[in-house]
Amino acid sequence: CSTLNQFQTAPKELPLDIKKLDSWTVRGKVLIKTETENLSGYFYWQKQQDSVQFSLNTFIGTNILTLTTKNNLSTLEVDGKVYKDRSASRLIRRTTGIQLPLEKLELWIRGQLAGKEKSIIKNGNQIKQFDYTGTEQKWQVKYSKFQQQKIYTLPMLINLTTKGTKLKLSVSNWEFD
Amino acid sequence: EPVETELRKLLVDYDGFTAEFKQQVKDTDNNVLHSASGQLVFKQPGQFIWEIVAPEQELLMSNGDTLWWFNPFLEQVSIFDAKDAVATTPFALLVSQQDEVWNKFTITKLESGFLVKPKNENNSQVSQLAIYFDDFLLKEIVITDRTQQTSSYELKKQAFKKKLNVNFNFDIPADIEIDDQRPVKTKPGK
Repeated sequence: CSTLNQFQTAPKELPLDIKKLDSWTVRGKVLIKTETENLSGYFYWQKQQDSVQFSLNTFIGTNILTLTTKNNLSTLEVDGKVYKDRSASRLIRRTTGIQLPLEKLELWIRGQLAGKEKSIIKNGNQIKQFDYTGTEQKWQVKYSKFQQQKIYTLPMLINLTTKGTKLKLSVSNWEFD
Repeated sequence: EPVETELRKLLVDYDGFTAEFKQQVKDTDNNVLHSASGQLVFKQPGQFIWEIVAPEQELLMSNGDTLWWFNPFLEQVSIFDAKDAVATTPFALLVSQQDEVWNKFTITKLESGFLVKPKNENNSQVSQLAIYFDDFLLKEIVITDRTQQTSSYELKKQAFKKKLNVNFNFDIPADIEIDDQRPVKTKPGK
């Protein structure tokens, strides 16, 4: 059957270590609770080698905000206005007051660690909880549900809390193109 | 006959109407941002259930006076005046028979449906609502927002049951946070 394989376009080999995966798309629901605001919606998060697109949408499918990063310039479109900055996290903080360690989140959402996390609790090789102290804030991150997605076991429900901000992420599906 | 009358006459028959739907949200580069499936119930006038079943449950229910927006993910239910419902969800228009609500929109004819646009666009997320019929059977609803993103609902298993006995009053689960958005005067000690 080797001739058969010859015609099948071999699906891009997925790296065993998900940290080496450089392009993926994840969809789900997010709740961002601060002292003053409850923001929730459906997110679409697409990471490619040289660009990231994060889109947050309402229940009826209208856009709340879109954050794109390309050639390390981040652009945020919200309420018909456009904001730009070199750092995506700083852009979010400047416009919404919410502090998010976005670069770390790209790993945390895959159940991976960036390296400076502390008091890590695991069961087996699956992360259950850890603390992370960023430039100004200490985050506590808790994983409560995992799901099998192709060769990976990935978190389905993640709670991230820091002083004044609570983030709840529920992942519905992954795509590894 | 003005287009608005034609559409409103068509919708009056959507009384005891049920259907399932598949929702797909796409950005202007055709990326599928979100997809969901659910079911709807319309009862004239003003009563509807719009329930998302997957990927996660979310429910909109109106008895014509009160609109409940139940969001289990937030462990919260938001309560609105039904007459403000159209601002939060354009579907409420499809069961509204109030002239003052319809007068906020301009209606034009499409090849196989109608295009509904809010007259006052700047305070509405929705820039237009397209309603498509397949010889009088409601087939698709497409919402376009200000960023030109589209959210399309394809209907199937459409059915009409005149004597539909469905309860349009949402009973709020015990441990749910209540976010009452109704103006104070309409809350007589409820």
